[in-house]
Amino acid sequence: MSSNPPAQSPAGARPAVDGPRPAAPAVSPPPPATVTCTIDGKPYTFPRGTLIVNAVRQVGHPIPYYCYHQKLAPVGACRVCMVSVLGAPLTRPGMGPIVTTGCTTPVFEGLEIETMSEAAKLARKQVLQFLLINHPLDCPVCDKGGECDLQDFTLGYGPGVSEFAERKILRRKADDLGPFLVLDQERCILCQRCVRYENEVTGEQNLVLKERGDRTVIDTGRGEPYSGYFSGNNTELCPVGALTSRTYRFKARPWDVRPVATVCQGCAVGCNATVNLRGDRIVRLLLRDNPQTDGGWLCDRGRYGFGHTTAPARLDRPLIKRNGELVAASWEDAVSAAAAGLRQGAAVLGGGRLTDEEALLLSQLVRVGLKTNDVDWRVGYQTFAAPEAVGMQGAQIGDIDGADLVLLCDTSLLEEAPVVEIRLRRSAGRNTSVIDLGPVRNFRHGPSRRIACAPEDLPARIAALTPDFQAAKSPLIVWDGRGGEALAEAIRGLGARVLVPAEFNNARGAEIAGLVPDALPGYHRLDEAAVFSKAWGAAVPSATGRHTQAILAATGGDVQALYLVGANPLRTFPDGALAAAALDRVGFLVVQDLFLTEAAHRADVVLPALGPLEKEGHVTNMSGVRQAVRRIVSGPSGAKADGEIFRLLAAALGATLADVPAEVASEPVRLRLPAGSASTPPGEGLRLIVRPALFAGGGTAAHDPNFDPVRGGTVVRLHPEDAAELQLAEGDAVHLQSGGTALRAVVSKDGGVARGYAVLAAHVAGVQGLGPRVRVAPARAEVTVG
Amino acid sequence: MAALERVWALGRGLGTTFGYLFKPRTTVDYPEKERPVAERFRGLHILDRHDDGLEKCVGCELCQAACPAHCITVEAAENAPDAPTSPGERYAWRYEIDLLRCIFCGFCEEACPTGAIQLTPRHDLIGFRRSEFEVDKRWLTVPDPRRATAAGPAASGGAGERAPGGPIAG
Repeated sequence: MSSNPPAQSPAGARPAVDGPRPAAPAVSPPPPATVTCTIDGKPYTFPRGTLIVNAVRQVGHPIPYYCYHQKLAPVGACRVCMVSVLGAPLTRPGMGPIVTTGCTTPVFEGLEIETMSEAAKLARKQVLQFLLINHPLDCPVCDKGGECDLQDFTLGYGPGVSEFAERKILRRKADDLGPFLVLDQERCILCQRCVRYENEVTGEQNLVLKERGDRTVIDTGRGEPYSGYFSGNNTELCPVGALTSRTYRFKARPWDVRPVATVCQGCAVGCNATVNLRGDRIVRLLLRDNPQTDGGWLCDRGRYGFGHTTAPARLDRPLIKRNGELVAASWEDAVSAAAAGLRQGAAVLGGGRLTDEEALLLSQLVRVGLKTNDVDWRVGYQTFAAPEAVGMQGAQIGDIDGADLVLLCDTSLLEEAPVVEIRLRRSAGRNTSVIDLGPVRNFRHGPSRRIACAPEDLPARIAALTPDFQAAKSPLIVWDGRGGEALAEAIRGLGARVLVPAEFNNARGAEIAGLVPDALPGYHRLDEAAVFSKAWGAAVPSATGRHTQAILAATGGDVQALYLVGANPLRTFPDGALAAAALDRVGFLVVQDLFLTEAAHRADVVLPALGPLEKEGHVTNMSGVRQAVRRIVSGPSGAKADGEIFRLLAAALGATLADVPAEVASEPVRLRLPAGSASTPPGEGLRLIVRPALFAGGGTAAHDPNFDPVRGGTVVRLHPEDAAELQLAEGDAVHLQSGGTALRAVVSKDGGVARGYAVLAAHVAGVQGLGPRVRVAPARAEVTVG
Repeated sequence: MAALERVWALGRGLGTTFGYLFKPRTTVDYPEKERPVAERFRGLHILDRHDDGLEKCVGCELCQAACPAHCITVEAAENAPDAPTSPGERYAWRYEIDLLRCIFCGFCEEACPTGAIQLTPRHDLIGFRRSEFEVDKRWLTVPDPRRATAAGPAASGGAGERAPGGPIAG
């Protein structure tokens, strides 16, 4: 391997590095796609642009590195990946090999790399000695001990002793950065992985470098608490013990945890994760890269949302209401009481949090055991889960990367499918233009075209975007299914693929399993009931059932009994007054849940269920990807998996549950959507809109002790000018009054909210009981009276 | 002749036995008296303290990792900054040894970076129930010198004088 042929010389154009930077413009003639170089005397061929650090790793000559990371752009900060290289243009003819960093140098034709030359070994040794100058040497105390790159590489490549005899610089230790992060500035080696992650991946810049020279430290910009949804990824990026997580800190060592691969069920993205167990206790979740779903990141709700498995409030035995009080009962008594109560005029709500298999069992139980089609998983704002079911073309999560136009239709990816927002942030800065449509600004970490409008004006505004969509090559619409048929029709008119973040983690699995009033499993039409009757060995009703609104309205009349499966309409259903009245009116109420929710308090029978990390099965994510979930922990001993409860109930009702017939072949049914309101609600005061917030509610997060630090009081977001008009400052306590009901909240000024609106988080107690307009009054007077 | 030879052999054998009556004894009146054990004998464990009373153990779990019999369980927690249990941020809130599983190999002692776990010459492993041999931090940790001076005469710190509940106390 001597000199390069001039045509292949990379001297003219610097080859693109294999980080996330865009490729350098090609020069003519285009250079060959591969280059051949020698590593430790043997020739190898690599794709052009491969970095030396990756090339030597691929052929099994590991060299140490800290600052380099596959998912981040190279920076060359730690200087520990030193190798000897020989070949123009790095060295002139007649010159010997030089030592350079492998993470910033791409391989080129004729390059000779020596990984273990004396010069390279000495350079690494000296760099490691420098890195350890101010690093405390108390590995036994450090939380990273056992999985620390600094430990491993110092042992493998570093010096045995330090020549540094002076005092180490002391810095801040065990510093609480935010609800989940702990920073130890002494242990930081300034590789800047976290800083680059905050820059390149999340774009939030929560962590920055401060000061200069040997005083440089990592910190938040002005020393404020870390405030993002993606802080946990920093603890996995950090190669040393500088950034650790509050929940895992000192809980275990890497050698005493057992890793189990599963899928996060916090939302409908379906991020892959590895659960680490110590004994039978979950100590942490680590990311497990799946390009189809998570793209290699986890949000904090997914990463830390395992506290509910051991929460003391978990239901661990069935309860039956006797003399107005819920008392513990045996499973036999509870199931037979539930079956007796559900025998006549029952309807079922919920199911969006079940596994696919359980949803299918419930679907059969409803048709065969309860002999009705009055079943609906849609107990919140979302009106459908699969775009295909309402005549739209569905998109994959990964389609965001290649889309040139993304319309956020009154939908926040950050609050509803956080990890997907990371993709949008990364592409929004480059070749994707984002249109952020709706009353609240939903995309705040990247360039976007903001169109503020009222919810009922959305269809008209969307129709006006038709020219943009016709000009775009691969447009994409993100819509969470809030609204009605008019909005759906407008979106269909744009002809773009649609991505639907789901309100419940397995909404799509529930919908395809037939937990809707107008379709059987697999979106089969109700006229196919005869085929299902034959396969299930019992009559399947063919009359169209009622959707949630109609079921709730009919309680006390036709609907004599209600079975809520992992559903709490009091917190999730938009018309909270109707939900509250319905649960009061209904003759018999069965609630199946993990916790004693508001709905469960009103129940006649409460059946304790196992949670998402406690049962096997499959879940379908927001773009239709089915993934297996594992039983990681056993959960409360007295609780049962939802599927098992359905079987017990079916047996008590005299029905048997069988497999779905394979021979049904009919055109899939198109789900009916509600009409949706087309006019502004009359009245005075601010218009109330309720939008999802990541940590605000949810079936498990609402009761998860790990989220106690992020669960503040109820926050109402107002436009700063509206707040000024009402003479309210940030953090003021207010009463939101609407009709006869009131809710106490804390003011947060938010320029992203359109004028005239008050925004509250969804799935929070008391929020759904308010009407469409609220009067905001300071709560101070109230306090003095009380 | 043959009979005489047998009597001679018998007499010689009894003579050997008789001769031992006048030699020094090798047995001792255990447990009233104990023989000294070898200088590096590995017996029952203690968890040592620093002179200022802080526990030497920082809960790093290296002893648990080194233990070939899997008889050590350590769980760590974060020190309260104003009232630390050990130097640094980390201490062991749980430290248990199953003495019946222990093979007294001393690997834990070798692995310990702070010299907290030590094998003493004590070897009297006595108890009536299996549970008595699962000893915890209370049993293992030597008395706090600060507390001993406050309460009265300092305890000698011998293994047998530690908190009751362990095998030796019974």
